[in-house]
Amino acid sequence: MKLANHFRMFAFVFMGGFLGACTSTPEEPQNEEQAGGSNTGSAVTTTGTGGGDNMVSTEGSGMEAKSPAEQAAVASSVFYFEFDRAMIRSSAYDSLKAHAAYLAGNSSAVARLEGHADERGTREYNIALGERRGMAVSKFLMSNGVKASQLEVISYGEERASVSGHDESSWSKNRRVELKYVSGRP
Amino acid sequence: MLIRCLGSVVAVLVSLSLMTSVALAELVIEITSGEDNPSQLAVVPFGWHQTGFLSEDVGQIISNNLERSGLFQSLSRENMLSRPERSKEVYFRDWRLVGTEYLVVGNITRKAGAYSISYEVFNVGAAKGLGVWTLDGVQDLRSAAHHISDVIYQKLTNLEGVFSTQIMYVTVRKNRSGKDVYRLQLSDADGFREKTITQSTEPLLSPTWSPDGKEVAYVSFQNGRSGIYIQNRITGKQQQLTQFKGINGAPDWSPDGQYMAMTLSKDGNPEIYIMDLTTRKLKRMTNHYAIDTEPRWSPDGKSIIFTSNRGGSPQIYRLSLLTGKIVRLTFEGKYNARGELTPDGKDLVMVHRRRGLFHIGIKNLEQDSFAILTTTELDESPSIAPNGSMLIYATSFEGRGVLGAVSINGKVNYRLPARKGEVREPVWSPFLGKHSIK
Repeated sequence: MKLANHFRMFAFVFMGGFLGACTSTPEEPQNEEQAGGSNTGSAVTTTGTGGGDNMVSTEGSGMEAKSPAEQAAVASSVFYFEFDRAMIRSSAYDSLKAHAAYLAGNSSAVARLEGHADERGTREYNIALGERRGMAVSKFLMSNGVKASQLEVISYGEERASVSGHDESSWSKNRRVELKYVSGRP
Repeated sequence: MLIRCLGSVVAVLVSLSLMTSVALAELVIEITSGEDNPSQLAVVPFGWHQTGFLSEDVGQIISNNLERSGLFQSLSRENMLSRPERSKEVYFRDWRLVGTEYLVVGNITRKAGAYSISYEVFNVGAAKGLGVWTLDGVQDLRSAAHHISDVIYQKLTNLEGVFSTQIMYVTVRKNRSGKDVYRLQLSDADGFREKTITQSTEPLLSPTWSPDGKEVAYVSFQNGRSGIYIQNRITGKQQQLTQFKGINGAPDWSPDGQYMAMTLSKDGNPEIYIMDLTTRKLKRMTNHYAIDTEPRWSPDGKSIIFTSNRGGSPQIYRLSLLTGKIVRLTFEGKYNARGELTPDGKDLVMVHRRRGLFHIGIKNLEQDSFAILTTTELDESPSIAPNGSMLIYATSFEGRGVLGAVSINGKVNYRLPARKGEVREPVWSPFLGKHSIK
């Protein structure tokens, strides 16, 4: 289960490179509210399949040709943040919209948004910060048509680092929200 | 034993106990700085003339305890010209010659299944005794040594000693399958006699003591989400206090033990709440779209300090429980969090960020003065000793989380014995009473 997730994550990152959906250089952080309003509820109605048993497609390069499930399956599912900030980077928008489109079209699908912080600062403040980040992603998805009942936010603060180093390159990978499907995985 | 460069940051290793230093080589307290002019102290090995070996070197424990306070420098045993066990064997000349200011002698006997410890303290310069004490019915020599340390410390400084108190902290270690195991641990104030209160493969954090020291509270993710739990320290019985949607965090008992302050985000945003522990009724204390967390009661119970980023960066605020008014307490830099007040309420200690590094800072609220107490980085979770003399904190040493202690004046600094894995969030117990000696 855990292993499968890791493979999936690799696939996401790999495909992300092709699709240009997750650039590694952080762009100017923008307000999540502004970003959310832009594309609400469009391109949601095309799903025919139930969404449960789609395969991750590794061929084809055009996003247009894919179903929302296929797009959500290859979209990045980890979103990074600046220190002491909870604003979604614009580089994450395409991936988040892919997840939003899939979730909006599959009401039985549920995603868990796990918020994290880097090790600096205090633990309880970081728990709050992780929740803020999870909520920012949650708001973005909801303003793109996802129902509140399909999302749960949990914050681990700095308790579950993804990278164990003590420098900015590690910290930048730990300030994150991980989107995990708990049911109806694309 | 070793010559110490006073007032400098030259590290001196103090072997904690001659008897146990071989078997437990990692249990070493490293004193990294001390008072500029500590009093010269000699604790003569306590006499023991009955059959068998004692499990603890009482004199050495006392000597180490007093030295760790930073106020005393102990004479090593090889430099003692004589080894008196009672007043009639004391020749003050022997101690003046080696510069000793205060002398402690004692002896231990055993009858009817218990130890009896007699001890005396002398002012060498004035050539007079400061007190004679006898402790009867002792089963636990180590606890007795801590108690004696408290008595001597109080006699010499007029301050209540904290050698019989405990500390609680969280350790994190990987198990065989590579999963993190979180343990809530208790130990004596010197880091010895560690034991586990609870453990989980899900995160454990924010431990805190009840004011009477009988219970502890903490945040556990043991059910997959955060919840606040209370556990009896003696029986180990655990009860769940909260598991609301969102954050259940930062528990802190009111000084009278009746209420628990906490952070909950059940209403959509992290806010400070107070729970009446008898009725379990909640009262919301803050209402702001920013993060409000890390509530701590003031020692007089009249206000709660907390961390909020309502001003754009985390800073410490005080909420008056009488008026409901909130005032900002910290303005130094862009990150001040997890505040705690000293027992007299005059000083505020906190985690403070300067030039990208996290230190323990202290602010005098009356004089509006600010100082940084620690030179290490990634310092967090300051917790003040019940006598207000020192604080314990978590820091990073050689890439690992360890515990350090620093005096409130910043001069005395030491690291606690290394543990396996990461050590986090130390909390100093209140005074625990004298029941634990026997």
